[in-house]
Amino acid sequence: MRTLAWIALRVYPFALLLLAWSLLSKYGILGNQFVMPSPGRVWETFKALVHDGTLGAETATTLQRVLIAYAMAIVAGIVIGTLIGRLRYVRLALRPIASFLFPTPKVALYPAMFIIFGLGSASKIAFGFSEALFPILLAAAAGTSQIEPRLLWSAAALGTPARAALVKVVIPAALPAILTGARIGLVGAIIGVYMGEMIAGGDGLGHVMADAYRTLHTADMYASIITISLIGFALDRVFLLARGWLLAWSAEEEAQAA
Amino acid sequence: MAQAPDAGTPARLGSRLAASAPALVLPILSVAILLGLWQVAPRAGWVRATSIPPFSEVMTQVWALLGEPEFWTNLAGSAQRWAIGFALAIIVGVPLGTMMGRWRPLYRLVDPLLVVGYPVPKAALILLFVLWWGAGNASRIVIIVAGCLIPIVISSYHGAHGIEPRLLWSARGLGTGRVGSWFRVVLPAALPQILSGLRLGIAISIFTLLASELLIRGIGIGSFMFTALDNGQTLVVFAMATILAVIGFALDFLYMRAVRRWLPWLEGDV
Repeated sequence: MRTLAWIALRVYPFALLLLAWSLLSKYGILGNQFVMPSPGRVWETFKALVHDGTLGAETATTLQRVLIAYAMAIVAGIVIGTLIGRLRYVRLALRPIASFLFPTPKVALYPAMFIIFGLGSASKIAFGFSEALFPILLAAAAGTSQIEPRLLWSAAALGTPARAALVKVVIPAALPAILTGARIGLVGAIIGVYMGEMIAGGDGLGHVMADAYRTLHTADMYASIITISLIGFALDRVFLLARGWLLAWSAEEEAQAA
Repeated sequence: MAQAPDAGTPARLGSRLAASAPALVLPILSVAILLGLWQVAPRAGWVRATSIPPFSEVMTQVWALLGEPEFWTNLAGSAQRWAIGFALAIIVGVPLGTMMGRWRPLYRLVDPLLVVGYPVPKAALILLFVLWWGAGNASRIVIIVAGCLIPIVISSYHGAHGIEPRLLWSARGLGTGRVGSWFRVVLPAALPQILSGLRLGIAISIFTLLASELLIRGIGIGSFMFTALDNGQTLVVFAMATILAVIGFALDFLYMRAVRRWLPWLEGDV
């Protein structure tokens, strides 16, 4: 009975969205079939796009950019964040810059990044990177600055050099906090790349969206935005699985699993 | 203030100054180095001045833009739509979120929808909204609501969900009705979480505003900036990026100042 309820809860939002969509389309509430094609028509478009290879290729392009941007943001975020969290001088020097850039809408910098990085892949990766970096960086700074001193004393007493303790003690202890920031950053990376592809196209799922809008292939627009949302949803699930595996030792994770 | 009595002796004062000198110098120094690099690099030819104009030229352009009526018309257009959209998101999001926190069936009904809606790139929806409602204010306001509704609902939910049951029992025991206890107990107790959700909402809605204006041009500050990009006005692009970055930072800063000033007992919670 419990598993049935569990499945029902997972299926229901999709079923409800499909139902609402069918009704909106059927009765032309938001517009005619052209503006709001039925789910069936979008499904046909979707199959056609998969069949001629467009969707697979564009999805691969977008996914590749997202993963590069996200990997760069994780490495840079953890390294800079840990330095800010652990070293007073670095914190003093970088805090004004980080706290200015964190709440700043990164989209305001997109045009400047286009000028600097050009209209190709580099600028789209830069958008994803800039959206993903700060949540990770701030979480790493906060997490590493709040480590129990006893953990470090024990490591030192057992003969761990300070630098090794950074990797062996500080980062693992801050991992729950870092991963919370990293989960927010993941969606940022996806949205940054997708927006970049929409603005200055060429390839990628965002380009499919913008191009379909210009050429009035409305069904393709729905196919594109549904695909990128499903990618976001799937990557978030993968992230949660990875987090469970990485934090299997921590009390927080045990409490969540229970 | 426990060390106050011996802080006056010269030796102590000296060592305290020595300890706090980096705290004063380092932040200023790092910002100065960054701006200095921005100024020198294009001049010295380390980067092309056509792709990164020097800091001083960008500042001159900022000043020039601030004197242009066209800039203010576009800014006012965006600000107005943003204010309406953000207010609508609060009016819908806070009651919905707090009710989800206090009434489990509503949570079970709405939460899966939020989970599905979370990874959708909201700003891209503007193209669909334009198909449905045209390129007017309706689409441009709804996109802002869509952008910041989910974080506002989720934080309001967490705030209301975490309330000590005893607070509500006491209120009910003292004869406060359902509606009364929502206003007098649930809302105040959930306030810190709601306010931090609004802070997130500000950031996300500014993103959505600018990104949607760049996709659908019209009167608006984002359109103004991206039209400058299309026209190859690099200097205007950098000046606008600087202005918008400062506005985004200032909104967050002023919001936090306002919360600390008017709700000082919440310090540290938001």
